[in-house]
Amino acid sequence: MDNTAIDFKRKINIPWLFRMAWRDSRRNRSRLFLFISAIVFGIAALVAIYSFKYNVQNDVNDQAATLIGADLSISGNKPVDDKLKHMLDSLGDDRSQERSFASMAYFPRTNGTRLVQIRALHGDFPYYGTLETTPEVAGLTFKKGRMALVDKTLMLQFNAKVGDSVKVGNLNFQIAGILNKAPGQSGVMAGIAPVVYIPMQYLEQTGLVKIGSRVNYSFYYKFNSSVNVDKIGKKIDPMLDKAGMRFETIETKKDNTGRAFGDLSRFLSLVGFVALLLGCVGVASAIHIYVKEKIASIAIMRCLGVKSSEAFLIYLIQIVGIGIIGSVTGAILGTAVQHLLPIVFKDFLPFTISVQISWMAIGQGILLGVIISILFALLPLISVRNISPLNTLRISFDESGNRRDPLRWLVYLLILVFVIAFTYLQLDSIIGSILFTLGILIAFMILTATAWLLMRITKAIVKGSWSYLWRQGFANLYRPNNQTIILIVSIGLSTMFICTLYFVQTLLVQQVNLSTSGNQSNMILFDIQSSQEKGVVQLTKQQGLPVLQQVPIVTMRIEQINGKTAADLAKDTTIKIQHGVFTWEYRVTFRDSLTSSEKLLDGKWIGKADPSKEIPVSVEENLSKRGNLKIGDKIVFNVQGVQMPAYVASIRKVNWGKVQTNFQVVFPKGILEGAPQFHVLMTHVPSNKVSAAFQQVVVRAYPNVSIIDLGLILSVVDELLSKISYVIRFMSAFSIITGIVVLIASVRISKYQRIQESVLLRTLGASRKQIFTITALEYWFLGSLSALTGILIAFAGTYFLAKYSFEIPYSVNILPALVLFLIVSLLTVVIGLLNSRGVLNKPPLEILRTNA
Amino acid sequence: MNKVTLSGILLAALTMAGCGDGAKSSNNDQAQAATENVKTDSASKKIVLFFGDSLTAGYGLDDPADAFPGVISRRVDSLKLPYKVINAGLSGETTAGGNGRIDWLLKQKVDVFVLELGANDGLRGIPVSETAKNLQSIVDKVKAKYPDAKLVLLGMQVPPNMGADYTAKFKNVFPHLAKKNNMALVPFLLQGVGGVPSLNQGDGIHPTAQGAKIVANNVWAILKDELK
Amino acid sequence: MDIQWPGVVTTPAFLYLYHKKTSVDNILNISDLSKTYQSAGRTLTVLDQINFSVAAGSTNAIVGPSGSGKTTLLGLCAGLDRSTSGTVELNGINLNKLTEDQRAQVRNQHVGFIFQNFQLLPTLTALENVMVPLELRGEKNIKARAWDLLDKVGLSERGHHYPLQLSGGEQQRVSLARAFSNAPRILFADEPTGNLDAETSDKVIKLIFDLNKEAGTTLVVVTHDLELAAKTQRIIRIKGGKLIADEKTING
Repeated sequence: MDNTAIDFKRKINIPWLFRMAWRDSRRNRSRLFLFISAIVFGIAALVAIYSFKYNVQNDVNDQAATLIGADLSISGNKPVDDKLKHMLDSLGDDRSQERSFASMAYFPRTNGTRLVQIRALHGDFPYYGTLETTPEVAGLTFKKGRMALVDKTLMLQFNAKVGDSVKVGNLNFQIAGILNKAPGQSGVMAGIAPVVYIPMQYLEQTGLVKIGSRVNYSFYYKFNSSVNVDKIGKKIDPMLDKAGMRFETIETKKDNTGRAFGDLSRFLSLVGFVALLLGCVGVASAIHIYVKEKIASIAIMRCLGVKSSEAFLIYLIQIVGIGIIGSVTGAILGTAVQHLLPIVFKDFLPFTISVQISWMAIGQGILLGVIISILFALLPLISVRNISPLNTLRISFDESGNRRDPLRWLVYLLILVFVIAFTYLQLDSIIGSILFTLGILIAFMILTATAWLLMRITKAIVKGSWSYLWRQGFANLYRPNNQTIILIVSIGLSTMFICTLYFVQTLLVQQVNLSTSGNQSNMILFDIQSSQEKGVVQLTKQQGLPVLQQVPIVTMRIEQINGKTAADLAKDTTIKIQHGVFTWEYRVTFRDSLTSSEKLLDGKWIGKADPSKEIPVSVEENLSKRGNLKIGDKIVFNVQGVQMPAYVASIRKVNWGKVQTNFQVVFPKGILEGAPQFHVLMTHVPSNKVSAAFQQVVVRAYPNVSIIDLGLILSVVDELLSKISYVIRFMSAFSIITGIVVLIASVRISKYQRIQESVLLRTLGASRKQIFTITALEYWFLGSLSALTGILIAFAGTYFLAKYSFEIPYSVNILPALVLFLIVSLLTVVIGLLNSRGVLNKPPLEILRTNA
Repeated sequence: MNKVTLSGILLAALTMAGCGDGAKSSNNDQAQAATENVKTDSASKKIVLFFGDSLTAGYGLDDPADAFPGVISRRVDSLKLPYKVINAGLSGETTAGGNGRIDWLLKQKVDVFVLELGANDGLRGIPVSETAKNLQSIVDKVKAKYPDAKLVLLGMQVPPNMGADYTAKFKNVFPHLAKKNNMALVPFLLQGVGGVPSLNQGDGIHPTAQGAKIVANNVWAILKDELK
Repeated sequence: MDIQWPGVVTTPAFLYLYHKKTSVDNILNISDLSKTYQSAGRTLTVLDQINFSVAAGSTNAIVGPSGSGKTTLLGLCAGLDRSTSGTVELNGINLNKLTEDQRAQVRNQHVGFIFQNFQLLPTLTALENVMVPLELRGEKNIKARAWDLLDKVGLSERGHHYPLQLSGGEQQRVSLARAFSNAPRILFADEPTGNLDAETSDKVIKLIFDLNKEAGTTLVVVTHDLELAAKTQRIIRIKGGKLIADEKTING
């Protein structure tokens, strides 16, 4: 009778829990496999995307490194003193030096002379990228003798060949190779004066560096260990500043190169975030359904005396196991995809993506998979505590009790915190992470609300008068044990991710392509005198080149603004005009219309002036701010001695990004025609060869005209941009495909939801067609509604991303959205039908026996 | 992204176009003075016109009046000489540009014409013959309009890095031209200033206010005789 | 390692005080037991002031029409649910004062179950289903004892089969083996033959009574099978939530 005393403190038998978890998982492995596969796809997507992301980031960073060719460059136009030299010699692990200056190079064979930029190099620079030369070895070997590398266009211009000599100062150098591209070449100087590299040991003998010579001193550094070069730069900056020197790192160069790098990294963050959520959708929907199915078993166990904590632990152990297996498999699959894809598409990719195993991605993927599994298992599992063992006698779910459960909210909070935390890993910004998570939360709620509404509405409208198949199909949406909410949320979220990625990708690629030169101007001719203008235009056309822009430029200054002069400004500090407005020398043009890079913000554009009245001018937005100018304000311009009273007729916004002439002040026609002016002409040269030939004829006919060939500079930048643009497209395409796979997987796990009913219908004699129709109807509504909602959310999401994250103009295309809508809807139906196909091909009882 | 770069490049390029340096400031006074002159045209005073580039304009100086024409102007005033100095310098001006612009300036009367151009040609490696041709053309135009005007030529040199050959040819343009046109010549405008870091701005080309005083002395040594 | 749910008070040792040796003659004492449900603002009384006791080792049937509250009563007796008022004292333990987990342990120690729809864990084999209660109590020789039990119900051949691979009668026999595996002081059966044909029914009923006799277990069976009820010693009749009759049968 002693056994009446019950040991309420019975210890939990951990090995037994594991045994139960294991036993419970054995039965119906194919079903378990389906769930695990959803996790596998989710995590594979995540790992592959993360891996690509990390690799691509490194690739682009490497490419960016070739912009300066070293980790750190320091330059100035004065020789360094001993103290500074000591500091400069202490930096980095590998050092190179360069002296560069303008000089006249002489090509003896063709007897030609031209302004060039001499770069005397000592050391192994460039550390990133190479001096791309023809022949290839010349980039390395020229330093060994009295040899030079000569810019390609220059070679063409003087019809020089490798092996010829070029005279630099007092010294003849043998041309070792043609210089096609060099890192750190994006300076303007290279555009005006083509580059000639010589070894530094011969610099002295050229006799070019003397007192009074204008020489630029550059120091290049490579750091072997991963030190924070930017930090070093900042540290030595005050010292450099004092010596009139400045530094550049890969990071500062990236910042200066503009927004593409920023856009790319923001886009990759977005992709990372989407991958995270794809992982979540894949894992969560699988786990949620899986655990829900276990409720009955848990009730029985409780009946047999299993404590709720024990039941909870059994399934927690199982979920962790499933999570680990799924995540590890997913990580392996993801890594495999990451390795195989570039090989498979080798011929299609315009650049190589490096494929290194990213342990960071794998680690995050596995951790994420397990954590998501647990968190989303917790939601149904915590209700285990509330599952009355009475459920064994009678199914009586008190749902309302679950909702009020504070633990449930704790789990929601945990999920939220977790998503924010992992988003933070991707975005590196707390505010951003919170906003992104909030956005997803809103999307989630919209989708849930949509599902709920759908259920309400169908319940209200389904009428007995409908045909049975329609009634049944619709009724499936709201009847007990429906999958409406989970499917709408997972399909909707996946569609939203896919659509948003596509939209943002399109916007960004557009943006990047705008920045690439394409057929834009890459050659600028300036200092064309009025008398030469017609001739130069004619010459350009004769060479078969387009005249993309041709503008007169008149130099002038502002004398007075509303009667106030610079002198007044010095006396009266209350005048809200910046000093620079009066000292600036304005390059002004006159024309009768706005250009494509201009937008009228205020006032009225007047293209033609009435000589008897004040001159209506158009002022650029920033100038209007600096000069505190409003429409109607009076300005007196001083056009090289002649005072011209004008007023602000309009204020323009100017896109300074285009390779074209833009102006702070534009005059109307009819005023400045007689003023001293020079002209600028812009054209596009398709190749070095054309460029060389064109330059030759222009210089021969108009020796005073100066030419800037931006081809080389633009080609370096273009290459980078096209890489970035490809990376963006590749990553989005890949993520979209993974998104679809995850979507398929999450719809696939609904396979068992409807099986019992289908079998029942089958048993009652329903035909194949009837069951297909019912299933198709249900899935079509689920698919189309969630796709539609997802796409609408994507429209909004893209708007916010474009406006606040990328800061680019928002525009979306309806057509791709429509296509996506159809694809997702049809895909859902197809998977739904595939899910029920098994039911139709086997005897009903067999299915019940194996799957019930 | 690279928008910034490109516009940066373009700006820089046009700046180059602007002259050895920038389109930035220039001489306020030059044009201003010219303007005043057009308006008031004080009959009592004769006009000294400094026609040049950024060196005349006073590029980069806080007060363009600190450029060497300004220094000379103050000296003229303190000596109570009956001259008014007009600064017609324009940053970035080449000899070709000057040749195009000169007519505009010759609308006003000129008694002493001081020509300071060529530096930008030299820095851009424009053929020396072209520079000489343009300068000659400018002188011809002045002579044609105001045959009585006294002419002063300010000699320029390019830094040694341009190469001995070019440097020598360039340097010779000025004495040759002066002799041919019977002009007074300042052999080298930047004598004692060029190549001395402390007297030049950060760019190593444009004199500081201190440097401009020395430049003004160089000019004054020759100019003073023309103002007698 | 003792894992408790957050919010669940750790059982203090004084709970042992509720074990009243004196009432051990009665394995089950029901007093003033009521159960009401709140539904759509109205109070639905399912059980109304039920009182009875069950002597240890006796066999009892609770009968009544559908919806009379007999299954609810069984649930309350077995501690599967909480009463609205009144007490259930099982083997001297007042179930009302226990937490859900503690009641689970009481079931594990003292109670066996047989359900109308068998309620075997579908993912476990027949053998494992029988082993669960034993394992929960951390006993020794579990597998051998489970085989023994299966043997007793005549299923030693089918121990490795999953419930779905067994017939209804076989499933119910597994559930019987499971119910007796912890040598319960009391066995509750909810329409144990409800899902079985007459022949199988007879076999199962015979088995229940044989095992009962052998182990000296108290039996409480809910049924509307009068034939089954007649085999017990006492029939408690429920109608509309009220106990309307409590009579000894010829067996009693």
